Amino acid sequence: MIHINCDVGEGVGNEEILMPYINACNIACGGHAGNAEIMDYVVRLAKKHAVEIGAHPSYPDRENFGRLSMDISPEKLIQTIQEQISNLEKIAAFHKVKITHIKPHGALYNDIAKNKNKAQLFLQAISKYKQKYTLYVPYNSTIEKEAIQQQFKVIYEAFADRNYEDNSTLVSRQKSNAVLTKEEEVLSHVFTLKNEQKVQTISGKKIPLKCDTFCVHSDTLKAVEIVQKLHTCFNEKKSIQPTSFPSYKAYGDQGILLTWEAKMTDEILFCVLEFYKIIKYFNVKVILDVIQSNNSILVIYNKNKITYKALQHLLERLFSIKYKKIKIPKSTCWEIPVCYDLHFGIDLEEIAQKKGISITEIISIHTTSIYRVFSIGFLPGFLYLGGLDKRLHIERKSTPRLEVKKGAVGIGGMQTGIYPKTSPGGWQILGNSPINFFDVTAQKPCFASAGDLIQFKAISIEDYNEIAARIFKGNYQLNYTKI
Amino acid sequence: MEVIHPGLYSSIQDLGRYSFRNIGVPVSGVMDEFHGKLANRLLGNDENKAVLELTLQGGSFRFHKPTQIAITGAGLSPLLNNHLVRLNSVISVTENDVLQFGKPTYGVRAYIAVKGGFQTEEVLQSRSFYEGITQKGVIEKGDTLSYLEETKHIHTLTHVAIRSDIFKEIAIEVYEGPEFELLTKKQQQKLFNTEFTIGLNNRMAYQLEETIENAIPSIITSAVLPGTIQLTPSGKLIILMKDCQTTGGYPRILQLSDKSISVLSQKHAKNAVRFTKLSVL
Repeated sequence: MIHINCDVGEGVGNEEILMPYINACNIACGGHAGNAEIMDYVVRLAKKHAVEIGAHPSYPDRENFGRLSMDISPEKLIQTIQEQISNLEKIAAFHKVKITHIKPHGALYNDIAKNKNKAQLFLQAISKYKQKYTLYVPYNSTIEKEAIQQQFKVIYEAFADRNYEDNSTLVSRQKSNAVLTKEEEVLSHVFTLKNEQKVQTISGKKIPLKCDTFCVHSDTLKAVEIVQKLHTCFNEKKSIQPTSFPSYKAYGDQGILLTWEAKMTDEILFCVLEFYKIIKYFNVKVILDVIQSNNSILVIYNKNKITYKALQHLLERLFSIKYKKIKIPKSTCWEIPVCYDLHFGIDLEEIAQKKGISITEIISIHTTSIYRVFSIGFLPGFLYLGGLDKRLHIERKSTPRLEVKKGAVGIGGMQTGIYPKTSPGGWQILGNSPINFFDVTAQKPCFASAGDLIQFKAISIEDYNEIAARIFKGNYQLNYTKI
Repeated sequence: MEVIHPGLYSSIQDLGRYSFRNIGVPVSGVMDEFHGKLANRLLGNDENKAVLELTLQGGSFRFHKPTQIAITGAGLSPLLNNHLVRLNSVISVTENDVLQFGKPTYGVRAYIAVKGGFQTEEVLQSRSFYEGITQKGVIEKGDTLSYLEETKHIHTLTHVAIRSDIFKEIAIEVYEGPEFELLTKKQQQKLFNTEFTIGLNNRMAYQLEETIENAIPSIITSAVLPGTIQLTPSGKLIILMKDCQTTGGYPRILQLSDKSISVLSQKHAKNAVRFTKLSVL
């Protein structure tokens, strides 16, 4: 296992993808980048993923992203660092999370690593946090020695994506070989650091380097791929058996289709719904839409922001995290009134004849079973219901009707369902329900959700008319129970 | 804007109705995103503003207040107060101006955008017409399509050249669909070596006339997308378009690129298409 940290809140916008893979984040607090809104967003994300939060103060130089050394009076430097940390503290306090560490940014980080005056000045600025927060420092640096001497708690940091000079300082960003962007380069770099506590410098020498945490810059090209690779190689729990389901497949250039075993069973549906709820819970913005179906989920993503491979990795990761906080709500069992009068049940006589059972029996079988809503599709508000009694399995009509009435309750093959609006259809019709299954004006246009249960209740034509009138007036309440 | 004559099949569309597919609501939206977006861009509108989509026969319309408009897409011979106007340019209109369309010369779908977009009803976060979601599926004679009065004008010399190659293009770019690998080598060869003829078509789907012998069973109902090509048990190829249902049970063998959905939406029955394969990974 390795500890990974990322500099975030710097405007790259990939935090939601990085967070599931990292242990700590260093949030820009207004010096070189970031503002209250971004800090708030990143703190909330870090909280959701239980990632340690650090302040990432810098020289106050947004223009140069804090990457140039700055001539600034000691008073001003102390003031800006304290202000920056306090900015983040306020936001963290609001979200009831604690800051764990401080990591200076860019030129400030490099300056205090070499310059004793600046190191002392920096420690003076953060002296009031000595007991509260740890300080990230590079090994064998001036700031390390000064901080230890003043009894700060330090954590050694090395850079997973940066090259080192022979004197254990970072290769300057002015040079072309400063940053490692190839995943393999980063991996071998980290392997050496982890296993030998040494780093291979640009001259090819191996020098000692202590490291408790590895930094990946969120603005490094391929930062997402690098973090994913590090996670796969060092941090993935090998004890978890890889499951064959779901299988992942590309669906066009902006869809990824997750498919489970080709069965319509409660067991499969619950796997689908669990994954669906996890995706919804994390609410990753590169995911534009999630379409759940009977044994599959289609995830539509922003192809300009994430690759297919990186998204598959992310989905697998989100699923493996399985945070306990996700509440799977209870299923609702809806009682749907249906009038099976021959006026509505235009195919009842034909079914009775074909199946050799009485109409009373058909109604009794149809109203006894409890059906599971597997998905909603085909038409707005059309529920795919599973659980039809075998005795009612029947072929669709050989010629579909051009018009099946809204509310018609039918059976076709092994399924039963309700037509949410008047439309062409080939199912055998048993009756009609006065209930609206789709209402664009309602806050929830379709009252049912996948996973819910449906039970039909036989009503008389008088009841039907009364319920229809009450629905029209807007004072009808559907019966339901929570299971 | 008053509808004097609605044309053959005219509807208000924006970029569509997302995030309601889970309850069976189709995406809808402009069939030809390239030209729908272009019309908005010419006016400095957001790409998602509602435009009027015309199909082959454009109809005629009277403006009630000054604004600027842009017409893009198919060549349907637009006339403003009986004078021919240019496509892909910014046109100023004022009260009582009449815009009408003549003979279709190329393409199928044309777009009229107005400054700020048409302000028709918004249902489930979109103004795209779809019967059963919005009150109407198409506009009708006497309808009023409201827009905001606009007197601050963009220079009317604003113009982009028409890319006529889009209308002549017969290559349709496709990715493999989720069930592509179930096809035999022979089926795959036929798919990529045949020049297909477009058959029945509308905003829901384009059917192709040539069939492919097929023994792949249906799948458990699963999500489908605009641009998905389904292969039916009888060997028919159906290319789903913007008003398609959200789920389906036929194998999804190919998926069109966004660009190719636009290209296809400018074709009509008897036009030829040929598939060329792209790769996602």
